[in-house]
Amino acid sequence: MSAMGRDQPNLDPEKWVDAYGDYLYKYALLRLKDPMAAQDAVQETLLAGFKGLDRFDGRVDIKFWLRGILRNKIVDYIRKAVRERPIENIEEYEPPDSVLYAYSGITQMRPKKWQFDPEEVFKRKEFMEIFHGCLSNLKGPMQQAFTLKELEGISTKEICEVMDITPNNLWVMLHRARNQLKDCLEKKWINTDPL
Amino acid sequence: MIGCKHVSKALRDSNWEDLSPMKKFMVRMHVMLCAVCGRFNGQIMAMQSGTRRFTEQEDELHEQNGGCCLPSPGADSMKEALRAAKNSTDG
Repeated sequence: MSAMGRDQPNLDPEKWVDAYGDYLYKYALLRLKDPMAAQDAVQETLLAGFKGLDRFDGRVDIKFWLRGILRNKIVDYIRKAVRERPIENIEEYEPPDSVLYAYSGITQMRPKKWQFDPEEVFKRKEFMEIFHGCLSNLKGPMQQAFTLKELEGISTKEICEVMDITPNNLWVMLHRARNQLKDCLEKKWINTDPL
Repeated sequence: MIGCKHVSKALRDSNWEDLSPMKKFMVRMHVMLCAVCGRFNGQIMAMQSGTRRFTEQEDELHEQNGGCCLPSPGADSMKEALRAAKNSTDG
């Protein structure tokens, strides 16, 4: 332990793969879905970390510093993926031309009630494992939008630039992703018969 | 009092947990009382909170679940790339 009471940072990049490779890979894989893309993102992260090591100020664990770099790589990867393969049928992600939407900004007045109490179950570890599985099932633009917005907390403006979509498209994508997640969570949680 | 559209916009632009205390209070009150957007926006808030809890526990969940580790060939090529980068700097 140093005088500051913290472990010495691991500043030897050759040791980063063994120390943080799995962690960074799992983080990237959940967000990018593609094992090769996740590996590329991790490799680029480690190289960027090596090149920018003089900017590491030791205020956070180097693992989280590298994760910060990886988050940018994930955004870059999604930007590149959308550029290479633009979202098909973007008009499917237009909000309804309805009085309800114009008045309230919502697409549906009374969605089905949750079949469990979300506030209670989200505190339970076994539920979080199911949540992890359901997140892994999201695909395509909805998954990319959900990852950027809800997992990474990127601003609406930046997501719209990255994915080349309008805020309305993003709203519809997020709504569908949440519905898909909700259906998956209800199905899997109820099937586990937690009581 | 804020309207449904303000609440929807706030939830579109941010995780409701990141709103200022005053705005958070107003959003919660509106959602509790509103017959039009209450259920819809309430479910968004529940999902945003759940996702936030997930990201807080993600590291622990990854460790417990094991499974998807960095494949060895990928790990080897990363070590190689780092070694090459280090050598070119040293050289």
